[in-house]
Amino acid sequence: MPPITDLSAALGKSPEPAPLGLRLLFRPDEAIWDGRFADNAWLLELPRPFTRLTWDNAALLAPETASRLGLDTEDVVRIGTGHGQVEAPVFVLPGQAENCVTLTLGFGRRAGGLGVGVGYDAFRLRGGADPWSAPATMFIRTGERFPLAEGQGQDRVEGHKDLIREGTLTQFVEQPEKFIQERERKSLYPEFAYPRHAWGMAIDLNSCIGCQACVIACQAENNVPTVGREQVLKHRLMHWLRIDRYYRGTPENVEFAFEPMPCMHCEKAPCEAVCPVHATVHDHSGLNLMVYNRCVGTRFCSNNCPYKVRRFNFFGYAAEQERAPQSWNPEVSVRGRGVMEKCTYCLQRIRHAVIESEVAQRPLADGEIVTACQQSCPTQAIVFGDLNNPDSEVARRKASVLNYVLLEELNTRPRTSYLALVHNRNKPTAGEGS
Amino acid sequence: MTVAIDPPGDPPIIQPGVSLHSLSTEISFRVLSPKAPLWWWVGFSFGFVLFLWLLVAVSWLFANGIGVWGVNIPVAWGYAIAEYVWWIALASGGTVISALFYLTRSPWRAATNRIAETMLLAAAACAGVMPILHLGRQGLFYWLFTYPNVMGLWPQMRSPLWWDFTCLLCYVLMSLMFYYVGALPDLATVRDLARTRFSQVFYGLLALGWRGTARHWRNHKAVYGTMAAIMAPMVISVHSVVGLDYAGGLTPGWHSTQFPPFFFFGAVTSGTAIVIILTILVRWGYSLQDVITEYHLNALAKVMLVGSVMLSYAYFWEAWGLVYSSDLATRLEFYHRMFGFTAATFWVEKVLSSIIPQLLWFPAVRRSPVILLLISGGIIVGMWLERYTFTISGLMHNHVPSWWFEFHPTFWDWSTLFGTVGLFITLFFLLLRFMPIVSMSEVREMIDKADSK
Repeated sequence: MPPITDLSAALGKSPEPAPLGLRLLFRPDEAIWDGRFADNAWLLELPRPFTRLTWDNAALLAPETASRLGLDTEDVVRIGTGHGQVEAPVFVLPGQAENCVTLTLGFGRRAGGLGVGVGYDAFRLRGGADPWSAPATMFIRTGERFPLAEGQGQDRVEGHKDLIREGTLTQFVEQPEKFIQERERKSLYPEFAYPRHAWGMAIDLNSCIGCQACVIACQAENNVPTVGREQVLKHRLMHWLRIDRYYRGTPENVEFAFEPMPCMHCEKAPCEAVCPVHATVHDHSGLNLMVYNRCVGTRFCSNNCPYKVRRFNFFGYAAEQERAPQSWNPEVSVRGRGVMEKCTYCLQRIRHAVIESEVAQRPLADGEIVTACQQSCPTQAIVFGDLNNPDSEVARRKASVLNYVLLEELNTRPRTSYLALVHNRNKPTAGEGS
Repeated sequence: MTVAIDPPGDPPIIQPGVSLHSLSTEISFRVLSPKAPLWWWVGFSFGFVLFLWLLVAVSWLFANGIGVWGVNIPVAWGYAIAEYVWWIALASGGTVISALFYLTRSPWRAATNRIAETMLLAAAACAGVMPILHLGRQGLFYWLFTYPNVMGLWPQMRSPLWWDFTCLLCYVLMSLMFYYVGALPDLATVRDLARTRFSQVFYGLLALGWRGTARHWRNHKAVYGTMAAIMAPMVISVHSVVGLDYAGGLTPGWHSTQFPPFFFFGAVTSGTAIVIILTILVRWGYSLQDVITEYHLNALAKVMLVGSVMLSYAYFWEAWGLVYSSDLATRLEFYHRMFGFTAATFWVEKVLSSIIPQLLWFPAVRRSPVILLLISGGIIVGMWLERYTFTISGLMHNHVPSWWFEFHPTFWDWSTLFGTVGLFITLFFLLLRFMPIVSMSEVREMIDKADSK
């Protein structure tokens, strides 16, 4: 393809002006696409990368546009074009272009299974001539509110700057040692010994694009149940792995950071110390594991988990799933009501590989164990392996100056660590502010 | 009286005219009378209906799971734990009055300690059910016991929950024994005054053959004094361990060494408040103005004032400690507790349990039953709000803002709260009806001392 010399000519003539100053953009949904996956509970309940919304679609508005129109997230608006009208809840998304309303397709279905009645149908607003955008001829607030089931609480790090460590490429080239996270904390308690394996995970924030593939992979691998919109509204999402999305910068010029959050498998795990019945324990290769049969459901472990990666079966979610028996992974226990659960680093895969290597009487090779999240990551942001093997990919990543752990000040010594974000921003062009 | 705790002109500790005989017959009559007064039926019915509603709420909970409540992740502890702390604090306050002030030989204790102990038992029953209801798998609560079992497993002894479970168990058993041992001479009095065959046998069995010999009295004094000497420090440790349930956690706002005493101060304040309320009501209902005088109200109000001042001191430290703390999460949590989701309950709680009780500095307030009722009621509500705010806010404003979610109680949360109030009223009214509500033996001792002076 020849290089495009004139971008505006390549994009065609600019669209006709919108009467209300609002232009509707029709886009496929990140999870259910044009609706072809609308009956899939996993995808319906998947928090979307930017909005973190589950189950329903919303009309995405920029903060400035929303404040100009006097609208806030969850306000219901009636949107109309020459082709039809729909009612949709507003979601204010920083980074959205001003005066543009993004509407996602594939929702509001009238036939099918689970997807029936979920969200609103943006196809009704769409015309054949200009299928991807239309001027809004009606955009009025109905006065109603519609609660949106969000998979995230606060959108910013609220002072916890070290949750996302970052710097610029210049800083990285000139003073890489500035990235090193200081870790000099000691513990009164004796250290564990790991004569064979010591599992660990490293997640490169520079590679993570927030696509959520790992979340679904984890859900499929580990028999993680879906809970439904009502339960998401009650903050009972069950995903063992989530991808936190944080806004940085001003609402007009926002940056997003994505941070996958599996269990950290802390070396000094706060959850282990508080379980009164030994239901969460440290294993001989550093994993922090749940013994489901032993759990009585005090939930103290979740209170004590600073990363909030533990999930509780407030109801018998798994028992209520309507799905084909063969869709469950036979290698993973299905958890019952009243039991805590969490990421195991795909223990079943670890055991499988270790047993294979023992049967064949050969050492376990690096990369032989691949966790579900790692396997599904399109950018290879997630690496898992044995920290006792200094040549393993995960050990090499952890040796990087960029390596850091979350909430280091708590001295939990997580086995999941992160590589700090390094930004290589464009230099401001003439006329732009710095 | 020999002990002067107020300037001259104090109301008498026992009204003149109360004799050894009149006291015994008066108090025993309440127990042996075949008919209960109308107010008893009204109060008992009210409590019993609420208690039945608790049974409905608990059945619903067992049938459907803990999800019927508003708890979530991150706020995995909600009303059940707040209520547990609230009830056990009320019970602990009762122990302070009956055990600690027995050791100090405070003259006002004699007429009020049985009310405090009766309240204690009812409140401890309410407290005891909450941690079990709160479990995800309630039927397996006994796994917290240290008992020999085929699984070859013991509880995990680093967990504050296990300490708490053990302490609570000891405390409840000890309280029952303390109540019973203290009531033995009175049960014998009731037995002796009983006229029907049934009550003679019933109270006769309960009295364990008490004949009031010098040897009986000597043993009784020794046992009771020893138990009081154990109970007084025990109640401090029990409630401190409740504080450790929080302090032992890594949650922002909970993780501080000040909470064991903080919780104990709260227990003294709220426990005294409920004793004051019940004392005033029982005094009215049973017309015991001669035995329970303004002297008692004054003394109890002073204890409550001391508790409130200590509590205010703890509040002050909770805030002041953060001024020089370097822990960002804790500071953020406290900021949001004061001005965020829990702001209303935070400030109302401070006004009710710390500011309004300062009125008790005025002697006239301390002797006015109506004002005392209002202040005490405010403290009890305030202390509930405190436990709620403390539990919710710490969990909500945790270390990762992405998982800061609000807590909203459900209908079943409220049902459990008011249901346990029903359980409390039911138990208290039953004990009020069938057990002597004033320690006759101890008041007789006081009358005797006063007469022989």
